[in-house]
Amino acid sequence: MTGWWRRFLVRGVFWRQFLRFGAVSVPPWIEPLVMAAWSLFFLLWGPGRRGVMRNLKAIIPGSNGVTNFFRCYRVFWNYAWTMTDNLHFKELGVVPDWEFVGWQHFEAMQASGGAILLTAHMGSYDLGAHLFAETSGQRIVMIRAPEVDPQTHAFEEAHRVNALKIEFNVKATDLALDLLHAVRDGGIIAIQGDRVTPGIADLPATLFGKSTRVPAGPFALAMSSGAPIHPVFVVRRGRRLYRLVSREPIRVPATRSRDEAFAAAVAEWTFELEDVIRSWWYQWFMFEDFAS
Amino acid sequence: MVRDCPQAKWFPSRHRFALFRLLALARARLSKPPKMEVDHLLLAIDPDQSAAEQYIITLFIIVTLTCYFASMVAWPIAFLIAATAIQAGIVVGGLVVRGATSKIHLKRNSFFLMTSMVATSAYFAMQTSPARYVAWFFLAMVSLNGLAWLILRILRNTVRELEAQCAG
Repeated sequence: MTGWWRRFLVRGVFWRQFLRFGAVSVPPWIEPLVMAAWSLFFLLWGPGRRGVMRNLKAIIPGSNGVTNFFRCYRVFWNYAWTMTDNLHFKELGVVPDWEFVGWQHFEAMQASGGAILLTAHMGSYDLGAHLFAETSGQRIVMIRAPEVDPQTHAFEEAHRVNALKIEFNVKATDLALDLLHAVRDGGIIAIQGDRVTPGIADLPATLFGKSTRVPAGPFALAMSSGAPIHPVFVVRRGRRLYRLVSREPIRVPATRSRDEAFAAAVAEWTFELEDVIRSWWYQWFMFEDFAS
Repeated sequence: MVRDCPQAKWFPSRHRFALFRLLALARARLSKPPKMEVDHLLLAIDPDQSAAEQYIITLFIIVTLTCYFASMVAWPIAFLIAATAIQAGIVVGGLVVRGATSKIHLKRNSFFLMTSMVATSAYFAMQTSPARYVAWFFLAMVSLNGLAWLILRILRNTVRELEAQCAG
């Protein structure tokens, strides 16, 4: 797809530029109104809305379409706030309040000397990274899927926080060795484990009773490095208030039966993921049907 | 950032408007300190940190502006015009009031929008429509905020003592 107008598509760069303008122009005392209006506007994004509503049907069994439409609005509302908090941090240096739950697991991760942080599409990368900088001296490498739109990708790259090292997950084998070295050198690799990017190796999983796929990378990395996988979630609890939830680490033993070891680890991961999503469904920014 | 000190939730310096800072001070002095309900807590000391304050102000602004427009058109249309006018004001202000940095830009735009709101209220306060009561109320709140600022100036040592609780 080419043409000047592609910047106005839902993943186009115009909206990121407009959001940035909003972040430095909207006084905090009128922000809720602006958020409410723009969250409503983005409900016009049909594929995203339908994706969220289908996911909600699976997360909340027996829920009906009308209620899920309003729930979907809540997801969009939270997403808008999360993106804005992220920009406020980048542009104005504004940091939110943080709550920690499962601190012992978080401490164990920091003390372990090389770990894999497995998370979901919740909260914000940059805010999470800032928190790491505040509480830990360890190097953190974040793996994320690149933006679909090249202009949006370039814009995000130009405005990212310098202290954070981000690698883009584009091919199955591209990063494997670098990441293995990083873990062995005591670094923390942060990966989102709830969505698979096309072209990336994956593993079968069951989430909310539906078949889905999760990235194979973190599990293979855990097996080859011997480092534990730490499920960590950043949940937005309110205006400028986030909660970091750390769960018990998952170990992936290096055995002959790789498939069995992977299946057991994936089951542990999806159990934690389901538990967190069930509690904070309005925080799961999954705009595609996870079962597709 | 303040670590593991839930009392800091009610620090006046976490509020923007003097009236809310004064209320926060009263609450911090008169009510029981909040309990620590999580393993650890990091609280940012920033004047725009209070969710309640920002939601109340937003609601106050939108209701006030809707009342003004309702003196000219039907209520639902007045609400839509008010919501659109605020957004348009932000964009116009954002483009006109340029700042060298993002922080200055935001401050100037905030000042521009609040001044516009006070000027609009002053205009409606002089009209004969029922909207003048809303305008008087708005201007009274602005005056009350000024008074709260003066009281806080007098109580600044009390505020300092309160906020020193979480120092170190």
